[in-house]
Amino acid sequence: MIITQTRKIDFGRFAVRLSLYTLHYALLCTLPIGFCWADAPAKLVSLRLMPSERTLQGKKASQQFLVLGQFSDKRERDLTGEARFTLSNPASARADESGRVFAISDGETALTANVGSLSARASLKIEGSGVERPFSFPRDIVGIFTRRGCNTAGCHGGIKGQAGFKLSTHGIHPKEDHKWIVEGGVFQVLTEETSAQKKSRIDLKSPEQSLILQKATMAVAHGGGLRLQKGSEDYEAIVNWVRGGAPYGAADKESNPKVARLEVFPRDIFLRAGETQRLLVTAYYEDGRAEDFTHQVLYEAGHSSVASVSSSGRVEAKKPGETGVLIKAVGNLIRAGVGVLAEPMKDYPQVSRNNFIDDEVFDKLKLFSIVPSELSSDAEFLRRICLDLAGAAPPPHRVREFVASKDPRKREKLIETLLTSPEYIDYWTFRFADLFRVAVFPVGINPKWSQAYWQWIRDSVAANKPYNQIALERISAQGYSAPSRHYLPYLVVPPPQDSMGEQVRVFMGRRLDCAQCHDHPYEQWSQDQFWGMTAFFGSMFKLGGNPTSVIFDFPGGKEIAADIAGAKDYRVLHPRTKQEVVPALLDGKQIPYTANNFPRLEMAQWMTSHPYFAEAAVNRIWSYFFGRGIVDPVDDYRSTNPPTHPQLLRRLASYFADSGYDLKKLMRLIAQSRTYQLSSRANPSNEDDLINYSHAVPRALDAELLLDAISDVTGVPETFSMQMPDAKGPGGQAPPGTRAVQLKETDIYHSPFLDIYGRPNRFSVPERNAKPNLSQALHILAGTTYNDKLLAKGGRIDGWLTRGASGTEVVEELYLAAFSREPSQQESAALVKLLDRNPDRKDGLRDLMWAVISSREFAENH
Amino acid sequence: MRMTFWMALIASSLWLAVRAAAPGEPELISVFPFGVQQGAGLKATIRGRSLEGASAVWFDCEHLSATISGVVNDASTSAPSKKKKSSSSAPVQLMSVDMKAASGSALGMHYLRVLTPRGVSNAIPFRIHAEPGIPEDAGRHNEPAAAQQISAFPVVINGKLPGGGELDYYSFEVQQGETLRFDALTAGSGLDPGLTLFEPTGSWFRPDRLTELAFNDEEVSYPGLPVNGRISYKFARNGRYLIRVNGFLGEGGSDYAYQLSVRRASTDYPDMDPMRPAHLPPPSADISWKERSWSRELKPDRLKALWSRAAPSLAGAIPEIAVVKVGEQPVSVSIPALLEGAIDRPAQVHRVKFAVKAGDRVAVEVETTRKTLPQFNPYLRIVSADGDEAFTNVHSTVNTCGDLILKQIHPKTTYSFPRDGEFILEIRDITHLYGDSAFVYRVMLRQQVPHAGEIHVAEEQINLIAGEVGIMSVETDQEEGFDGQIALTVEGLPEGVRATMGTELQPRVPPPYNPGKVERFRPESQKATFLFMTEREAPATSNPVEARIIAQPVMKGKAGGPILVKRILLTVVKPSPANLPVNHEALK
Repeated sequence: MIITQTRKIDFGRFAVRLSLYTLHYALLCTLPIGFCWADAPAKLVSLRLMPSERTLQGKKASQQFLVLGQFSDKRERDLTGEARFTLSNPASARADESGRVFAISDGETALTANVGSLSARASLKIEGSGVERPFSFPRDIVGIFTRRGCNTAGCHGGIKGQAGFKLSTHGIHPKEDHKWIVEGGVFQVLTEETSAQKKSRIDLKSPEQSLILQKATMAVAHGGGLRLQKGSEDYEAIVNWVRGGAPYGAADKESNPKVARLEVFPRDIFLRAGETQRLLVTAYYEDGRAEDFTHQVLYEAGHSSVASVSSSGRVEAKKPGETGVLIKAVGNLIRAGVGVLAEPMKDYPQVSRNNFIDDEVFDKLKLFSIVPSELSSDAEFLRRICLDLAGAAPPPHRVREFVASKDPRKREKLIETLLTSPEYIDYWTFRFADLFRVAVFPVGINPKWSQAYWQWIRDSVAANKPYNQIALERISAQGYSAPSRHYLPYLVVPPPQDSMGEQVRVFMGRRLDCAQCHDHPYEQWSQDQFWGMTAFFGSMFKLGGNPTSVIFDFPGGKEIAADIAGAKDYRVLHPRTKQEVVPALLDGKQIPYTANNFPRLEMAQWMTSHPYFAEAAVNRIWSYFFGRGIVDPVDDYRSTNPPTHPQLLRRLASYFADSGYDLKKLMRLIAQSRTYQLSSRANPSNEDDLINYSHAVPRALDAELLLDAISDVTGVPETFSMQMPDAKGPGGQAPPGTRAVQLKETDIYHSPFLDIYGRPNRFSVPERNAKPNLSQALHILAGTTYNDKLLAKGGRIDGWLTRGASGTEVVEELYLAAFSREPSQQESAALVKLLDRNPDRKDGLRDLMWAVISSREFAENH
Repeated sequence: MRMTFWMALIASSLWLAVRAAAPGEPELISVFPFGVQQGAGLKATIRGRSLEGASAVWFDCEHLSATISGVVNDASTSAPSKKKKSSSSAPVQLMSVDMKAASGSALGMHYLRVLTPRGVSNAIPFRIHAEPGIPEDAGRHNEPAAAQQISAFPVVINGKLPGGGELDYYSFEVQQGETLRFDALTAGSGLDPGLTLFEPTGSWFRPDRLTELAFNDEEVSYPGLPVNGRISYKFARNGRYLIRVNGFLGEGGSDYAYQLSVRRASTDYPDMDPMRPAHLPPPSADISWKERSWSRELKPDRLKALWSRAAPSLAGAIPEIAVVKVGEQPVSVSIPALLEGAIDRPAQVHRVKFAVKAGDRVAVEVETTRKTLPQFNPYLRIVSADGDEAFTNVHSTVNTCGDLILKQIHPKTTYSFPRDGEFILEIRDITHLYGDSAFVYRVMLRQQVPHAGEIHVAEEQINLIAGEVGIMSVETDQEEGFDGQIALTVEGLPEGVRATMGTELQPRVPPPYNPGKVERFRPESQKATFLFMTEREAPATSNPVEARIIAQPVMKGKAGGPILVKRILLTVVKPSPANLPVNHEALK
């Protein structure tokens, strides 16, 4: 029976078993070929030590080793805790029971690890064991703050620090940290100047009385709690540093090279509940030297309910799911993926595969013992693909025709038909008009411009213009061209940082916004990168007044006719250094202005050929077909928001780029995959899965699609008027018969329905809100869309009444039109009975149709 | 003739049509149909106000005529276009006329006025076309299935979009390979027509679905340019197609008339711009003088033309200006020079070297001979030999709120060099992305010539009431340091009317927030007022009298030649009750 209720996706019934933090699926590649789950306990076959060789340099140098055992089930497990360690030359080094080796004197030695009857060897060379390393404030002091968590974004590494004390996030700017500690002062976001009176946080005369130690040891009240034990190694290191005059140390590359990168082993961990794995962290300096950082970093588990991590880097699997461990060292951040596997499933079914999407999705499902749902029924597939490719449900006669067809290639053929339909052009123009923000806005942008911009999108979609070309045209738009109107949303050119942020978000899937005021607290983006990219938009200006604006960039990057008193400086200045910023790509490459170059175009060419571009594009298109991106939100790529299927994302991106950024080819590939064609009916193994595409997850229809669907089912087209209901005068009106997805600039048309159901105002990159709300419930009950259309003259009910349609006919046609399926016998019988019971046929038909268009089955794509 | 010139004229003519009438004076709003085939006639309806007692329709061409059938109040409730401003609260009326266009009538846009006891009305456009004209079907054809059939080309269909959201569909058959041109024309009624060409392909979803083949709202949406839609399309298949006319944003109204012209590309009919004015003054005429237009023609005799608007006797020998072709290779010229070139690829910069002496006062003028703003935006920059910017054709100002800088390119810039030296004139498009063989320019680099610039008279017609005084304002531009006087006279006044100069209180205008280097881009201007003293006994005019406004520059006591500024229509009407505001209640 039809259940009438508000348009609600009841996600509440899903207990999200899998964590939001997701396993780097690349770990699948680390599994040995032939890996299998076995009932009998696996036997240890061989051992190896990691690293197999290493040189320790300098006094007090050390190296953590891991002992890895190869088992008969072809898995490798961490056996470090069970191993005994011996050194061939104890005069050169000593080893503790955890597998950490400390240098004593120069020489060579071999480390042997024994587990049972098996052993493994690693060679060690010790050099300069008597040479103290030159003191380095970044390494020796900031390193302490980093592993003690003092300079995290939630503490003193936050934008403004904590309680007047600011440290750079994870020690990315150690010179500034030194200044804040030694000289004092209160940090200000937009200037290098300090505010308030400067007061040092150290006491050179009485180092133990230094505020920085008093707070960390809780001798003085400290909101961050106890961070250092008095007398601990780190405590003494700080005391000695203060006692020595609080030097910065040599800052030259030779004496104190910076850490260029961190590496973690293993990068992806693959465990069962209860198993453990130690992490090995190695820092690589600018001079190429490697150093063990396993004990000099801070470990943070993403979801500790899935897996926890100790301060020494020991990961313990708790329950099936995916998570990650963030590893933070001075100025560096790296992540290890952790997957905790469910118990293996016996008799896991063979599932046929249509293309590489299925390979990637189904391999992962098998790993997690999730069985994909059955292939969708023809009716289910038909409705879904029509809505996803053409934005409209199929008409009843097409449902009958498709379901009746015995053609084994009918799905493939249907996809082709839809890809070449005019409705495809309508729908994807609507999608991109939404993303590209075609609107008139309350300020009243010239609708000629918004329509020209819309028409450019439509022409691009109709011609299946390569997506990189579309992006290039928009990012680098100049003149009076249609895409250049994007840069005049409020009749004036927006601030360059806004324009830059939007392009990067839409076309690269990254949000750099945080880095506008400070280095991104969680990501690699620095404030310098933000402003370097912004500088590409800094010379953009408009020629002429509001009705005649032509977009151009100042030739040579210098303002032309700068001969007016009080003129604004159009150079992009770094907000903190106040220095002019040279346009620079995210990879650091500078593209300075020359007499006649166009750096914004060069940036657009770089952006649209960068791997990020293809990844962001395929992820966005993917989300339109599955309701979520492989990275989700689709424009929020970051290390703490990894893709659910990184290998799939890479392969899709490669496919897209290799195809010439052909949107139709990409959509065809997705639509043809079995993954897309799975049923929305879940099975016991996948009913909780929302992120692995084991079954189709119902998606609420967007406002425009829902309105069009209601118009189709009721047989009463919507009239889109620019006029408010109580206004006088003729006003403007969209051509009769215009569908909501065909509106050129949706915001000028008064429509309570579209507003209630989430039409975005397009002020910023639209994020549609699909959550149900009370207004929707009220609108279903009393709104014009759900009520006035039902009995309108010329509508479907009017037709039934005119021709005297039987109850069976009515129910069948209504189900085909609304749900794209035949009613079941039970449904049909019950509804016919209800209709017959109503003395007023008209009322009965109205109530029936109202119930249908109010139902979830109708309001969702499933 | 160049398109840009038509556009400017059309723009000014549309402005003519929307100028408000004085209260009680006859005012025309629209005429439907607004065109007729050369050599044919039709019944038309003129919408307007205060048309009672109309005696004649007055055309700008002797080959056009009309007979008035009657005037009734318009019972429809549709308000006139919001774009139109009317100072009259009089009800809208409908005047029925039988129009005739003799075979000798010139093709293109004409103007008509109506004569009433209150004087002559404003002018509204009326088009004479070569193609046969047919009316829009009386029935609705706002759906594809009800499309009006077009059976022969070429044809002009006279249609109207009276209601909001109204669409007019027309269907036609074509052969494979045939190219048709469609124009949706309007004439200042407020309608902004759009055209969409469809093929009735049907779709998998809907058998009646149309597939859009082409769409055009107008060639370029830019202030001052026509809003007519145009599609030229080569058909790949035999078959039936549809063309749709609709108003931009779906507005409709009683004056929203259009002409849909459909013709083969290979037609024998003249391929002229449909909106071309039928009667153009010769380009050299004083009356067409444009000082700061992108489309005014810069010719080697430019200096002579400028001196003709000053006191030529002071000029001495006036040289012809040498024409220099400019390309990517820098060239050297001496002032004066007329530079011709094309920015034929994006980001191309043309460079011209020249030398000046301290105190040299130069003017740099630009003409865009083919593409113009907003597609081709010529940016001129004059830099010293060491690269320092001396001046540009970009005028920077601060908006009235003081928070935004506006930049505008100008077709003329003046500058006085403070020192001797070699300079380079750079010519480019202001964008980096655009440039093609149609980005053709003429740049004139010359000494400044103090002269009378454009002289503006707003009025097109003045209806004088015997015993009263009519007023006409004249605004004169003084260019390039012209510090003499400009004598103004009116010739050809009706009997009993005398023109005399008077003063008029000028409204106080707050100074702009920051006008920038306005002296480089704007002339000095002065305003004068003519008072038409009409004797009580002055006889009423049976037809409008064409008066001529003449200007004559005077410099250092030397008078220049007469300059015909404008022709306006004057009528004298008697102060009878018929000329007073009408009691419309009584007319009901």
